[in-house]
Amino acid sequence: MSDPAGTDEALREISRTMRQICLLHEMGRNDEAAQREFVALDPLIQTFRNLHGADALPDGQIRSLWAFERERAENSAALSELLVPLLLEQLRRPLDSLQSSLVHSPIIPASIVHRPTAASPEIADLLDGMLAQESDRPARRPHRPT
Amino acid sequence: MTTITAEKPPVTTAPQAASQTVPRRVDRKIILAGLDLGTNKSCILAGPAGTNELAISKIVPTVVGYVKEGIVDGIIAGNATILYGEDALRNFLHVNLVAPLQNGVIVHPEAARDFLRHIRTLVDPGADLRVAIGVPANTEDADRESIRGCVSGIFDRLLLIPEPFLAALGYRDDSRLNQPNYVDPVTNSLFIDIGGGTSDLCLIQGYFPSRDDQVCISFAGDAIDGLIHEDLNRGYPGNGLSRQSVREIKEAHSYVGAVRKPLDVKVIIGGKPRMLELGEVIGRACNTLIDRIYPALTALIVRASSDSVVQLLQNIIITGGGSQIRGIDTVLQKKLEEDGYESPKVRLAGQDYKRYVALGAFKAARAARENQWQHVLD
Repeated sequence: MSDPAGTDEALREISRTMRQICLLHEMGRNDEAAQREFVALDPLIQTFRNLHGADALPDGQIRSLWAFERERAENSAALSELLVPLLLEQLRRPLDSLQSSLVHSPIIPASIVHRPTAASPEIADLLDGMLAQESDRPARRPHRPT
Repeated sequence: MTTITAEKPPVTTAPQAASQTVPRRVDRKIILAGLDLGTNKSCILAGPAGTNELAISKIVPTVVGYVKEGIVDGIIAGNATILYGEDALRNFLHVNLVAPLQNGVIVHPEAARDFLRHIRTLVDPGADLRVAIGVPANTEDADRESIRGCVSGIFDRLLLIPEPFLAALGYRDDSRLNQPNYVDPVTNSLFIDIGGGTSDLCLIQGYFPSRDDQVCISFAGDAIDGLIHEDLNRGYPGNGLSRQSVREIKEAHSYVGAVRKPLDVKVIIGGKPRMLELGEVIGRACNTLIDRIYPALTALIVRASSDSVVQLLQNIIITGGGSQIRGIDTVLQKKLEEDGYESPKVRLAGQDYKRYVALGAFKAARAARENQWQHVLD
């Protein structure tokens, strides 16, 4: 007998572990990521396939799950890079000006305000704009088991 | 250790391109690269991180040749089973040629992986290879994912960036950015990148272009070849000309504007030389490109704000192989003038048109911050 709730829970656990691995990569902790892949993710996948059969979790679906979690991790990193300097700046100010600026400051990061600039922009800042746009787009969804 | 089963290279993989799934290690030398993965030609520029060195600069036809069964030893150098680029084209009689891309997107993933493995061997098989790759404007997510899948296990980190934007970055003369009279193309320009599979237009105004600032048209050099070929087959049935021969005819005689007659072209049909009058055939095919590009060009001009559009009209730049079509700059400029635009100026990017996208990608690779790279999972 199949157990849909148990299957979903197991897949969620696999996704969560993939997400942790992607975040470790984003933080440059590649060795930890590789270790987690080996000690945590591989056994989860193996267990799932042993229980439900290899066809229940084909390589294509694993690839989709990876792509989805990788994008989430990348988007989180890009977003945090945009938000952290803003938050730090706000925290340096007194509380009253903080409240005032939160009300009046634009929510859209400067890098994606569509206005020609006179100064030559830095390439890395332009790439920030690209990544911010990508994170704004609807996320791709991996196939879920039916 | 990996959980994704990378697509295995075919058993016929050439020795020099095999076993390229590179283990991720932190102590490897980092190589940064810019790759213009074109439908017909690709350009790779690469150099070590932290230096200004450009160690690799190559243009390779984007084609893989799988050596046919039964070829006698010694016919193919080193008895290789897969050939790439020029080598594949030179040995076309002995290989099955596969073009991995069509209209700027991957259509043969296995061949694409073989081609990318070859690119890797050209750069540095053992390094931590981080590659910024040009993709057509507004490439669909599925096609971007296809590229990611194909570079998996071959490149280590990746950035996918629209080609016309990269062309602007490549065209930018960094040494002149501080000169007051230099107009940085990245601050206000409109780039038209006409490649083999797609023509990409992009409004570039100092911020990263949004999807609405870019237009990708699936009509470019290959489509012109197709129209010429169809016309030739109608006018000269059984001519036996290959698509490659047609491309060579186009590259030698392409033009836009009023029909140029006579335009006599010598071709070999059935082993005998013949002179064909192709003025109308070539003109009609190339002018179709103008018909396709012009509406997109004006649509993007309209998007520019009123205080930037006059300067923008002075900075319309054509690059890619299509920039070699005679008269393309003057015809587009004349059409804009006739439609009442304020003193438009359409220019050609110039001699380095084959490298601007890769150069822009290389600059992006060098400037990218650590957290901007996308990890490629093995």
